[in-house]
Amino acid sequence: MTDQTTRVVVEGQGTFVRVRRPAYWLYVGLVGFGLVHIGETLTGAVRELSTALWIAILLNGALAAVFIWILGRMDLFEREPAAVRAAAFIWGGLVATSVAIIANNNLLSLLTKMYGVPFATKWGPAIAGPLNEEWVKTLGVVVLVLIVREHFHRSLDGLIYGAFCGLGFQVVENLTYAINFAVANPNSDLAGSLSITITRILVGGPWSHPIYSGVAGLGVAFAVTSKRSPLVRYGVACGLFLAAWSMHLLWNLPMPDWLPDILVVFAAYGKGALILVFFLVLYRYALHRDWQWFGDVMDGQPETIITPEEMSSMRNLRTRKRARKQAEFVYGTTGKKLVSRMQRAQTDLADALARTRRARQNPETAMDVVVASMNVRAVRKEMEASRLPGVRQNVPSE
Amino acid sequence: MALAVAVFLPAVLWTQWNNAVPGEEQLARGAVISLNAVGSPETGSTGQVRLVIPDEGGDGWRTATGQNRQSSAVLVHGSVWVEVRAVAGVGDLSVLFERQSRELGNGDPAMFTTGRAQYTSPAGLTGYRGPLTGERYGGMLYVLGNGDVAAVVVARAPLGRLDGEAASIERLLALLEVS
Repeated sequence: MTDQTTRVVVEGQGTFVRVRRPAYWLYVGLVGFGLVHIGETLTGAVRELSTALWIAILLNGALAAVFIWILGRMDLFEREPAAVRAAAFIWGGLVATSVAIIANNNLLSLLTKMYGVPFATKWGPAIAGPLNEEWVKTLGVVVLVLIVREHFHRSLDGLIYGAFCGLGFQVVENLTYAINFAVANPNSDLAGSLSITITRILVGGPWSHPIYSGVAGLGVAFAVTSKRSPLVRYGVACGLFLAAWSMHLLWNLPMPDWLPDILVVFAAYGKGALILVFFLVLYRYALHRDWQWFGDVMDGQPETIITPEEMSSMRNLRTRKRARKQAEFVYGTTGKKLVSRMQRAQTDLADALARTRRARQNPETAMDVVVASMNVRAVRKEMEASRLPGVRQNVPSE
Repeated sequence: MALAVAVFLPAVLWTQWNNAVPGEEQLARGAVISLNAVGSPETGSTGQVRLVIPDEGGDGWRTATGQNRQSSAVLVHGSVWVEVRAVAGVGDLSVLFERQSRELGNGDPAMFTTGRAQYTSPAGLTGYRGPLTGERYGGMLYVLGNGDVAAVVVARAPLGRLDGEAASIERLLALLEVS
């Protein structure tokens, strides 16, 4: 029998609309600008390219779905509101791309005039792309801070929102490439669109704009959530922005002329692997800080709420997965699901406790804390009822 | 306000700087412009188009430096604007001609082909040619090929001005090489 659990929605938690904040109207205006700019390109393309464009949309939609699934699970202690994630995605897809197209085209033209076609062809993407694109994408995270500061609790929030900015940018950029290559292909729209879309997804997909913007976003969130001195906070933010710029620069750097063609693809994957490893190191560090925050918030909670073993197991994806797997030996076939529900209930409680602390309320009487605690106890009761006979480990005590 | 400025800063900065730098360069007689074409990954084809500014009547050619790319160049002579593009991996020149026509029709300013005829350049390159017409501009579209590499030449001028430059364009085409 399943004990009833309750979901509490606190007003304003998941919304993005903030009509009293000027930054919100700036966001709306810029999205409108982006909609007109990108919409003009896409509308014409839909009319002319039809099948070729729809296939590119489908493939990029699949890419986006995969990233959304991954990004939605990267913050182990909080689920960022869907509305804010969508806002970040829209910024990247409409605002950042529109401004970047104008900036990149003019910078490339300028480089051609000043240094000639060979220089601009070889070095233009490495100069223009990182410089213009990372700037505008990172400003998207800054705009989100100004609109919904209450959704930035720790550095990892900025990584997630930054990654969504980058994802929006990547999807729309891929579509514009698909359109340009479809038109430029001498034989067919479909051949042009398909070849570039597949190339960009397979070669650049895993380590592209979501990664760069995620790193920059991490820095922005650190600057606004850390309690360190301003020098440290803004220094880290600038440092991580430079890191994002450097990752993008590395990716866009031309391959050496002496490298045989056959090794170019391997070298590209090598660059991508370096970028991904750097990102994962930063992510791991941010996640560790989150886990320390979790321990701090849940400190003093009785073992009916969280046992020492459960606290350890909440550390990262691997330890949580191990705990769920081991649960089958203790709680039977439903053990995995029960532990999964317990982990979710405990993170919801931590979130509620942190919110109460920020509002300087009494956690013993705050409604969302009381309900979240009830949910944890309800799952605990279910787990005890499912415990296999003879298994006595991890019996919690008050 | 500061944030809005920050967002548009790259676009405004590079646009203004680009506009401030002169965009045309004189081309001397005999000057050579080489364009490299790389076909799409599935063809793996590459090629080159070579343009030479003619000695006879070759004065007055300029190139719009900011518009030039690895596979395309824009030349200006009087009131005529000539864009030359190198294309690799071409399966059928007539298909390429139709696709270029479509692209020009969707361009700004829009221009439409009013016919298509087989054409052999003075240099012996074969392909197609078709007149272009638009609201304020007229022109000619040439698609000339050698194997799976082609040169797409679009010449345009304000209505009524192209005829006076026809000889200049023919002299340019006479020295066009595709390989």
